[in-house]
Order: sequence, then C-alpha cells, then structure tokens
Amino acid sequence: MRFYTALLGRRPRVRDVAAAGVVLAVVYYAYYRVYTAVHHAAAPGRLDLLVALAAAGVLGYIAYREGLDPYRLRFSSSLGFLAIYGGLAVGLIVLLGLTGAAGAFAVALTPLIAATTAARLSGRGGGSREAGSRDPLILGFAGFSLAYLLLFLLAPLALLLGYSFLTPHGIGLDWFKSILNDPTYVNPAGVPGDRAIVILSTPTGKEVIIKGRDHGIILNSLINSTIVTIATTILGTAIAAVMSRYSFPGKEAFKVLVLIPMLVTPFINAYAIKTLVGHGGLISLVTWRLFHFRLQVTGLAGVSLAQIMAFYPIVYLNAYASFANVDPTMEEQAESLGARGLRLFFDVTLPLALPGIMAGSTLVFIYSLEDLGAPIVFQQMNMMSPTIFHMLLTEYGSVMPEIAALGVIMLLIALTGFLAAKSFVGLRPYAMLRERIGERAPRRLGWRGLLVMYLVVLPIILFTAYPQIAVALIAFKAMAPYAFKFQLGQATLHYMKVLFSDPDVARYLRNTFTYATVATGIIAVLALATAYAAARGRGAVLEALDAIATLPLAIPGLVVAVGYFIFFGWLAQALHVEAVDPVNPNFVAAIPIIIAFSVRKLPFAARAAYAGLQQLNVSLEEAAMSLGAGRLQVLKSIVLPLVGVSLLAGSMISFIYCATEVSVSVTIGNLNPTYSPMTAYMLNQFVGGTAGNIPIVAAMGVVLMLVQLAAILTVNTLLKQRYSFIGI
Amino acid sequence: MTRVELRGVTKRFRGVTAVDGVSFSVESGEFFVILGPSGSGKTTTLRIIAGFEAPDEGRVLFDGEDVTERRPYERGTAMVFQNYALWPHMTVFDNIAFGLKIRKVPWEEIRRRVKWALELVRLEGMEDRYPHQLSGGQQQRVALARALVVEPRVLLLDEPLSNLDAKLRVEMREELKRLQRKLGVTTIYVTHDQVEAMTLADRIAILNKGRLLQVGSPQEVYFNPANLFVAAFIGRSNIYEARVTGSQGGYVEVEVPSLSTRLYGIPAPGLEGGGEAYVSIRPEFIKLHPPEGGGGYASVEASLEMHMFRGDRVEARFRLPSGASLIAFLDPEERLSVGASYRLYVRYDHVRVLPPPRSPHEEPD
Repeated sequence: MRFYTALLGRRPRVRDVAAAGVVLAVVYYAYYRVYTAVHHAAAPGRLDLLVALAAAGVLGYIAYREGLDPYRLRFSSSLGFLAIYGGLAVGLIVLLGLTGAAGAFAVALTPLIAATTAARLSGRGGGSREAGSRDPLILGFAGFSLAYLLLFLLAPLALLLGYSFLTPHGIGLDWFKSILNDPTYVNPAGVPGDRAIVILSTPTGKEVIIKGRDHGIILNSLINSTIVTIATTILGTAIAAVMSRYSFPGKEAFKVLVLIPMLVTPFINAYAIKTLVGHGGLISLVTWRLFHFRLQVTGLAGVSLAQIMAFYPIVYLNAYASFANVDPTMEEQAESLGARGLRLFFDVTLPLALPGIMAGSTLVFIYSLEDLGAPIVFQQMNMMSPTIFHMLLTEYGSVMPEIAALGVIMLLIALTGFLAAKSFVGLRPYAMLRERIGERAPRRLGWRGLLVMYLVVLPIILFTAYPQIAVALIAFKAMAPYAFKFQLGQATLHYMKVLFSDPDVARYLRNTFTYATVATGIIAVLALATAYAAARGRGAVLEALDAIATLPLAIPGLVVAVGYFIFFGWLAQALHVEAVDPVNPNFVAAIPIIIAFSVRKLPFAARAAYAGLQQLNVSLEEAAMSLGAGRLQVLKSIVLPLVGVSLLAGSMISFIYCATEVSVSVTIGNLNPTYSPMTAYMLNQFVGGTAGNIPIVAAMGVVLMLVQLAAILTVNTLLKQRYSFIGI
Repeated sequence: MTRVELRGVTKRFRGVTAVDGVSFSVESGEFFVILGPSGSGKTTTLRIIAGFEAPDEGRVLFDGEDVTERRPYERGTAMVFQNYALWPHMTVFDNIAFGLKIRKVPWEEIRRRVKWALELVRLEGMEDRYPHQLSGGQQQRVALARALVVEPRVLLLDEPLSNLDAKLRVEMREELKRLQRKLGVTTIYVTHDQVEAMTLADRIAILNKGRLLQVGSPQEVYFNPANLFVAAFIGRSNIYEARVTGSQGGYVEVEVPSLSTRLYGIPAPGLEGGGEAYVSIRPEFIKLHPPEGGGGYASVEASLEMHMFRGDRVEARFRLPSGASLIAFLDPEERLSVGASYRLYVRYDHVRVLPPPRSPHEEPD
C-alpha cells in the first residue's frame, strides 16, 4: 500500500511525516479530552496511548518504505538526536503511564523516530578484518577476559535481576508495579503546595530559595539527570567551540581553569558549593547587598547545580577534542563554497564533532544518575542513588527485593541512554578521524568576543573551579570549614599532617591506595587481553569484546554495589567462606572492593589500549609473523613496545578513578571499618545531617587532587597530547 | 627453492566470495605475478599463501607438502607489505635481524648476514637509522632486506612499489628483478599494475572477481588473451562485437559490423561452431600503409578525430563509418590532420577472435 504517495501524489518528505505525527497527536488529544469529559475525569488508560503510538510508528515506517529521503534519515544529526532522546522520552512516558498532553507529545514525535530508526537499522553491516580467529593466544585472552567479566559483572547483575522478581508468593513483577505506582517513587503531579521557588519573609529580611519540586524518587533522578545533561552539553560545547576556534589573551589560563572541576573530590566539592550558594553563602550575601533579598539554591536545584558545575568539563573535553579533530579541509571546503560563521559551525563543524560530544553527554547522564555526593550533601534523599544507599546500609548486608527492583530500574534507565547514544556514535565512523591533516590556525577574537569571554565565560569558569580551590583552602585552614569566610592568616599544615600521623585516618589512605594499585594491576592485564582479542580477533564474540569491556561505564555504581551484596552473600554460602560474606563480622571487604574497582574502572584502560591497537597497522604484526615469530613473541617485541604507552596511560586514568570511587567504597567498604577506603570516611562525615570533620575530608580531597594532577600530567607527557577523548 | 601449488582455493568474507576456486602452481625459483584490478582477490590469495587467511576450501602445498593448516610463522615464507611494515621502534639493523633472532641464529652470524642483506639492497652503513629517518625507497629496501635475510622458502610481495614515485618505481623494479635472479628465490608478487607485471614476471596469473582467468608468460597473456576481460585489461585494445560466419580447421571467418568488413583465416580454436564473438585488435597493429610481404589483411576508411603525440608514438582516435571508434598507435613522424580521411590496415594474423563472456568474471569493466 502506498499511503503518502496516494495522498500527496509524490514521495513523502520529512515535514509530511512530522505533520502526520502532529495530526495523530491532535486526534489522540481530542479523543482524550472527549473521553475525560464523557466519563467525568476518568482518564483513558495506557492501552489507548499504545494504540496511538503504534499507529504513529506504522506511519513513520511506511514513510521510510515509501522512500522518505533515505540519506537524510541516515545521516542527519538532528534526526539522529531526535531519534535517541525522543525515543527515550517516549519510552519513559509509556513506562510511567503518562497520558494526556505528555502522551500526545510522544505520539507527535513517534513517526519521525520510527522512520529514522528503520533507516538506520537497515543501513548496517560490517567489513572483515585481518588476522586469525583460531589463534590460541587470542582465544585465551578472550576467554580470560570474558570469564572475568561474566563472573564479576554479569553474574552479579543477573542475580540482581533475579532477586528483583522475588515476591512473597513466587516470581512476579510485584515490586516493579508497586514502585511505579507508589507516589514516593513516581509522582508526576508533584506534592500539592510544593513549589520550585519559595519566597520567605523572615524577621531578618526576604529570602528567595530555589529548591526544585519533588516528583518522587525516580522522577527526581530522571529530571535532575536530564537537566544536568542538557545544561552541561550546552555549556561544555559552547565553551569548547570558542576555545578551539579563537585565540585571545589569557587563553592558556582559561584552558587550565576550565579543567579544574574534573579533579574529583567526593562529597567535599558539593559541600563547598553548598557553602557558596546555600544559607549564608556568597551568593546570598551579594544579592542581599545589591537587591535586599537573600538568594539561595538548595534541595534538588542545589544537586543539579553542583552536578552541572562538576560534570560540564567532561563534555567540554570531548567537545574540544572533537572540534580539534575535525579535518580542517572539511571546513575549508565549506568555506570555499560560501559557508561561514554560524552557518559553517552548525552545518559542518558541529555535525562532525557531534559523536564525540554525545559520548561526553552520555557519560554525564550516567554520572549524574549514580552520583551520591551532591544528594547526600544537599540532604536530598528522595533520589535513586541515596535511596538505594540508605536501604543498603540500614539493612546491613541483606538485600531486600525492593532495592534490587529499584536498582534494576536505575540500570535500565542508564543502559538505554548509553546504548542509544552508542549506536548513534557507532553509526558515524568519522567520530574518530584517522589522521590529523593539520589544525586550523585559531582566529583572533574581536572586541565583542573578548567582552563575552571576560565578562561571561570567565566568571562561569571561576565559579565552577571554586569548589576545588575552596577544598584546598579549607584543608590548609585558610578558609573556615563551615561558612564562606577566608582566614588566610591562620593557614596551617596541621590537617595534612594528621592525615598521615593519626593511625585511624592514615588507614583510610593506605586502604584506598592499596586497593587502587592492586585493582589497576588487574585492569592493565584485563585491558590488554580484551583490547588485543577485540582488535585482532575475528567473529562476532571477539569483536563485541570491546563493547563488553566498555559496558561498565553504563552501569551505575550503586547497582554494582547491590549486585555485589547479593553475589558475595551467595558466594559465601556456596563456598562456605566467611571472608567474602558481607553480613559476617570477619568480612574482608578488600576482596569485593578490589574486584569491583577492576571491573568498574576497566573501560578507561581498555579503551586506551584498544585505540592504541587500532592505530597500530596490523601488517607490523604480520611482518613479524611471516618472519617466524609466534603470537606471544609478536606481543612482546612488537605490540607491547608500540602500544604499551597507551595501555600505561589508560591504566593511570583507571587508577585515579579507582582512588576516587564512591559507590562500592561507601557501601561495601563501610561494613567493616578496618577495610574502609578514604571515600567511605569522607561520606561518613556528611551522613546524618550535620557535617563532621570537614578539614580532614578537605585534606583527603587535596591528596586525591594531587594524585590526579600527577597522573594527568604523566599521561599528557606520555601521549604527547593535551586533550584526550573519552569514547563510549 | 620451493614449488608452490594452490588447489581449488576458495575464501569467503561474510558471504562475499573473495577467492573462487583458484588453482595454479609456481615453479621453484620462478618470478610469479598475480595481476588483477582492485577487489579481484589477488591480495587475499597472497595472504592465504602466507597463512594470514585460512581458505574455506582448497589446499596450499609447498613442495607437495600440505601447509594449509600451518600458522604463518611455521611456513618459512617472508612477506613484504605495501606499507613496508617496518617497526618504528627498531633500528634498520634490528628490523633486519628480527627474523634471524627468532631463528636463534648465533650473534656473529646475525651480524654477518645483516651486513650481507644491506649490501644486497645497497644500504651499507644505514644500520643505526630508524625507519622514519629513511626515504620511501630506502624503507622499501629495508623491508626487502628484512624478508631476504631469512632466506625464505617463498618470497611474497604485496604491491611493494605502489607507494613509490614513478621514477623510483622503475629503479626498484630493476633492482628487484636483479635480486630475484641472483638469489633464485621463488617469488610471488601481487600488483594491479600491468607494466610491473609484464616487466617482472616469468609468468602472470590474471584474477578478476576472485576467479583465475589466465596463467601464462607476459607474451602469452598479451598476444593471446584467453577471454575478453584479459584482452581489455592487459594493454589497450580495440574490441568489437562480431559474428563467426564460417570456419575451416581452427580458422574462422568473422563478420564485424563496426568495421563494416569481414575478416578471414583467423585462428580461433573452439569457436568453429559459429555464433556471437568479439574481435580484439591492438592499436600498435593498425597501420596507415598496406603491410608488405604475404598474408591477408583488412582495410577500412576512417576519419581522424583526435591525435596525441607521445614521443615514441602518436595515439590517434579514428571514427569509423559505422560510428564506432578505433585507437591506433602510429609512427611519431606521421603527419596527421584532424578531420581528414585515412585508410587503415590490419593483418589478419594480428586480429584475435574471442568468445563472448561465459560468466561475469570474464566481462571487461
């Protein structure tokens, strides 16, 4: 049947499909209003929406079949963007049972999403690669890494999934149903009377409190992550675009400042932000002086703000590397055809850089979802991460199916976003250009641009770099720990000394660095094994290894923690080993922590090793083999000398992420204080509402920052490049 | 000194047949060239001989011994790659010594043989350089020395000259021929460049779309192409549709509508039955004057459309009365004027009659 062709007398265009969606949405919404009017406010169920969505999907698919602009569908970045994030939105709307206006919105989007998805799925297929798949070394490597990941990543997640289906009367979806129908978890309408901005008149003056609205645990997390992702994407991309294309006085300083928030200082950085924007913070003082009211950001809004400040450099870094990697001849070609300014940027540069930017945004989405620091410091327990955290710790080692179900929901949200973005990035092979032909000389910024740089961008960068600076100041007592107050005269090394001299505190440091070192050793071996098998092997499983090794990026830390609780409890029972039993007083938390580190932080080293191997021409190895060298010999004399640097650099990145790991450290690591790492100590100073020993936490933050700085500088020297790219 | 034999070798990549039932044998000490356009399966064939690919069907034999299941490093071959594949972290010496070290050759012997190999490729004194300090031609020589120093049973070369500039390519071609003659090593060389193939080979194998279309000496494949693809691919040819109208003892009479003439007494074994065929005439066999001596010839009137002076010849394009065009390589001293009419002559024994393509592999591109 030819629907559009019969109706319009020509092949459908993108706007016809968009129009079809809008028409369907209007029809659906009209039906919805009529239904509610007739049945006196009883809204039609989800089934009606599903029917409308199915019809919309079919309309989109028919358009694709009738020859709707196949190239535009496959290669337009805006349609790709729409397909992924629109698809996510539609999925969530259906999952949460939203109908009415939200449903109509989903119906309107669906035809284009369906057409784009159909076009992209049909355009798949791969070429073949060199070298053997029957090679014993490659098979051994693949077997080892698959077995490790199967045992310590997939098995815990499978147990988690199985656990979430356990109900008092057998197997079922009861927990999911009760969670999704519980207004504590999902409350689209919000709490009556709850407002996002509260204006209070107190005896001491007017207070304006921005705090966000409570929509239930799951929606709060989702809304927060969405806001954070969008804000960081726009902010990071905009700053990267300017920084990569223009030169101006002070640019080098800007480049350093903008990366400062990348230095992870768990909990204490959110605390520093709280002292800046909270009650009695700098912002409220300034607004009081200027406008006679005290502006504060707290609650959910505070969490979002803290996360935006901490995470936007991830997008910035990816965007900067992507812009720098855009082949200058591409832009020059467009310019010679008459494109310039914003047109050039939006039509050529941005689409070419988009895969890299999307990879960064996706990471931010997942980091935001799993973040524990900001919610705990802002005492915002009505989000997924802190909820799981609390349920776990109050249960002390035994896991209720309800936590497992919540963990599964969190995992699904993170995985969907990750896989959608990954398939989008994967469809664009130009994401990583093969060879840099040269870099465009940056242009001088005009006076208007300079004004924007110094009056808008600089304050933003300084503002976002503030937490790390404050942490350092607090650690040396140059700033008061509980308020926004400088006291440079009182500076002292006291807390830094305590860190190493007090045995109770030093233990945390020792634990952290022991765990991180051992885990990094495992990671280096795993990364080499997976990357070599994936890069040189042939066959679906081997080629999928790289994707599997990247997967831990998509799994929120607390989900891993819950999975490990179940997994190790089960393992202890099965093997009768009390050392791995989380509920046993003799539990050696070091074992699961190190294993968790080695799995969770593997992607950084694995990606680096894989990228290094891909740049290594296979013929270098084949030449050695044809001269009589076996695989192991080739690995030793050709591969390791040439990609060892990438592997080492990647492992150092893994190391710093191990040292700053939060989710598993503060849950499993909290069960037996003998084995607690630093982040567990840091967290314990913030739970319970009052802040504990802040200067010590700040001193720990300084140690972590120094380690990160040393590692990053080494990596940059090793790889001889200033900006790296976090791929997904 | 090794004899290499391929028996019915087939290789598929995800449903696409890259090499399709290829059989040939390379004699001991022979310089054997595999020639074909890109995508013809020539590199895959070489990689199967080297052991980097395992064939889906068929066997590979070295001196009658089946090596199909052997790993690359167990075959005693040495391969030179298109991109040279010199290890950037090793000096010239280390690159060349690598294969000897693997073979656990004593240190003194290694030094002696590396020196010998460097002299062979005329790179004495370059031991301590790194690959990036060498020119393209020098890198090429190091790659060659690295392969030759292990005294391989079979030397395999994958388009080794394609990254060099034109002048250097000619030089290296002669060098390669000299070395192969001197060492007498069985050599299999893959290229898409027919001039390279002609000048280097003892025998040439022509591959298209995975099929082996002809094996023969350069003269054989040039003067007696087995099918339309080979005729069109090797050198230049005027190819016209024709009909076999009569035959006598392996000789046929063909009618060629494009030339508006009949040609007689042309050897075409297998085409005596008559029917559709093609004729192929090399441009250098077309003359402006009637040939002297015996033998029949055909002639046709044509107008000159364009001519290009090439130094050693003039390339002229004529338009025939039938509307078809004809290319001729003429004496460079010939004075020609565009638009003028000329009578062109070709001897019958310079015309080749070819069967119509029996499969897509034999169709010219």
